[in-house]
Amino acid sequence: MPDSNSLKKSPSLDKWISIVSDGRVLIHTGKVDIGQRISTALAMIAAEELDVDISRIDIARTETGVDPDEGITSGSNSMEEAGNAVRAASATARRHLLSLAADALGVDVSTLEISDGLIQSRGTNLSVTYPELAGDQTFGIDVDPEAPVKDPATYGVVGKPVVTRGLTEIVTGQPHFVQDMKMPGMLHARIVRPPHYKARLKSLDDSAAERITDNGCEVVRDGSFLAVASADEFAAVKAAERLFESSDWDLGEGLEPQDIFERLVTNERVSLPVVDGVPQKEVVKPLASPPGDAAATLKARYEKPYLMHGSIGPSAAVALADGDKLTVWSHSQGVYVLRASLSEALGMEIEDLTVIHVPGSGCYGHNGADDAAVDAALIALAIPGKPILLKWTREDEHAWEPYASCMAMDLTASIDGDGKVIAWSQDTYSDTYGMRPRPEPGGAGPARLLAMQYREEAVTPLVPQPNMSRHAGLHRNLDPLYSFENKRLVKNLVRDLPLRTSALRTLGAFANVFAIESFMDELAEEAGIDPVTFRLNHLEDQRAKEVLQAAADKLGWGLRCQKDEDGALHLRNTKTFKPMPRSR
Amino acid sequence: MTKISLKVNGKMHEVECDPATPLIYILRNQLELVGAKLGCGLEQCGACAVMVDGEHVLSCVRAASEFADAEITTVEGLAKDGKPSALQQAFIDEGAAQCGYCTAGLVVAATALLEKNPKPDDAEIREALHEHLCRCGSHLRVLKAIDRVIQGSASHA
Repeated sequence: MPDSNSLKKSPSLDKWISIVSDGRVLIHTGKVDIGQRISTALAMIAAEELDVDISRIDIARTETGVDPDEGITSGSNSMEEAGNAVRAASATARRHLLSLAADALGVDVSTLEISDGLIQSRGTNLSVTYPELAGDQTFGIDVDPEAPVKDPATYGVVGKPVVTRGLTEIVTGQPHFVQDMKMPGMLHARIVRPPHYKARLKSLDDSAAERITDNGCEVVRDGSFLAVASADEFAAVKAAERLFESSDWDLGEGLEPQDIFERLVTNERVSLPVVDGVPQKEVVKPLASPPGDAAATLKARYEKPYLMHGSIGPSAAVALADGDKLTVWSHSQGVYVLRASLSEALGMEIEDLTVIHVPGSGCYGHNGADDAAVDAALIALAIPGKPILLKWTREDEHAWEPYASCMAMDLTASIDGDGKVIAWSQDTYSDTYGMRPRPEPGGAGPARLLAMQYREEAVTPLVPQPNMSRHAGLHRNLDPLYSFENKRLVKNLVRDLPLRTSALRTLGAFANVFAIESFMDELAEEAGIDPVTFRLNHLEDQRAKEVLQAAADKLGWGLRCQKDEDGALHLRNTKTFKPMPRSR
Repeated sequence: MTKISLKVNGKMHEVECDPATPLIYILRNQLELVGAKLGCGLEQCGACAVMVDGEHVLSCVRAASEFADAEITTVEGLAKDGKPSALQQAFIDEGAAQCGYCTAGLVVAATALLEKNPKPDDAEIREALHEHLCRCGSHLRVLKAIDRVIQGSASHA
């Protein structure tokens, strides 16, 4: 199997698999359910490699200090990382259990067969089960990444339909989400948000705050971080509204209305040339004049606005401070990463902190989950001994979550008389996509957490550094799939933009690809060449060519385009271009 | 604080609350029926849908006291003898959820529709569900699940 970071961090088999006495198998993973149902996929893999019925495989909630640290659940890496790790762990466990069975039964291992955790020796009535072999012992061995795995041709579970994990509970309304948690003595909390990012709390009307506390609600204030908590959820909702009405905020300079796309290209920025998808620490060359043999030179600007994740359930978290310990239940995509940043932000020892994953609403990148966890933690520390269920409101989620950045893409290209691209330039302008609370030197973790900016000892928001990885962040797919001889590609990380930004699906990729493909259409039209042919003329990658050709064939593209007498392209043969059939 | 009586999933409950408390908080917190979800609190997303006297009602704004004497059915009340209803089973069979946060609302809305009109046409289904937002994009599978129930009841007729 490929080199596995997951197994390097957690080599012990016991970190991944526990055989439970009732015959169930508990799989541990650091990858979490965020709507994509990775737990179902992992259960299928474990069932397949362990020869245990999938109904008896459980997937543990990821808990720091207990389950493997697999970083962040993002970037479509979960099957590659957790999937391969669980596969190797299950194969290792199966081999180990077979060897224990051979010893226990006094037979050769080659005579053994497994069916749903029952190991039998062929031609005898000797058998033993997984729990009998495991007893109360742990495995005490490491996962062998080379342990033989099954031939996919023999798969009985993987590739076959199964009911996804949790779906029955969801459809019948059973508790499933962090928002559904209920604990004895639990208080419901809401945040009283500033009117805008830059506003700071000047004063609270004491008599109003007293009325709120007399009413059985707690008020938590730390600088401009303001929250209420109550055993009654609706009382907390009303108290938050009243507290806001009786609070006085310094609005500072406010937020200036400006054309965001103008700011993108005029603000201070870090500009880096991109070569082979990788930003270079070099000076950007200015855009050259069109080559002498240019038959035409086109320019275009493409823009993408800020986008919100807009999860249908606003972010939430439960936190409980008990003595020196703090436990947080969160729908964060990275419980270990969050724990490390919480430790730094709160000045607590890492061993005193536990973060446990509980599903939230669908997550399409870095939404408010981590920020809500910090909010809940701050309230819990102020009201020790009581579990705090903090729910963001719809307004919180829409106004305060980290958005996907707005972007502008400036393209310039020249074609020669044969319709070949002989110069290509793209400048992409964007804010960062990398504001997950990763602990990094200089307090970068806490500086990415929303509440930290509003506490009495406020932390200045992080000024992000450009991501220098290949095809990462805002320059993902900036380097086009097409082969152009004369490319000038520039990543521009723009400073001082007005909104918080972080990861949303594919980061900068789809805006870059939209710009590239839209511009290819412009160029094809200018060249008077069918846009599919124009693309094929600029592709060297065989797989890409075949994909494009297959897509064109499926769409009945073929002879769709013809030139009229003036050389303009027109669609023809449109009968072959059928709309997609309705799915029901 | 006042006492109100609510009939939920066939059982009477006496609860003490601020009479202005929206129904959803009573259902989720006092009665521990967490199937209805708080999505927007503005009657705009549909995640909090319940049935009241067979009608599709959003529970996040209207006060619980408005529903005294009414028959309230939540998504938990649709299962019979611990078994999911035919529609719930169809949602499961079609995998008609991604994250599932909006799903209970959709199940309730579709149940309310089918109780009134067992064979709705496509336009009627879309009309009944159009206020239910799903950010993951489960809509087409939801339509398939409803279709499965309509086809199923047709074959049994």
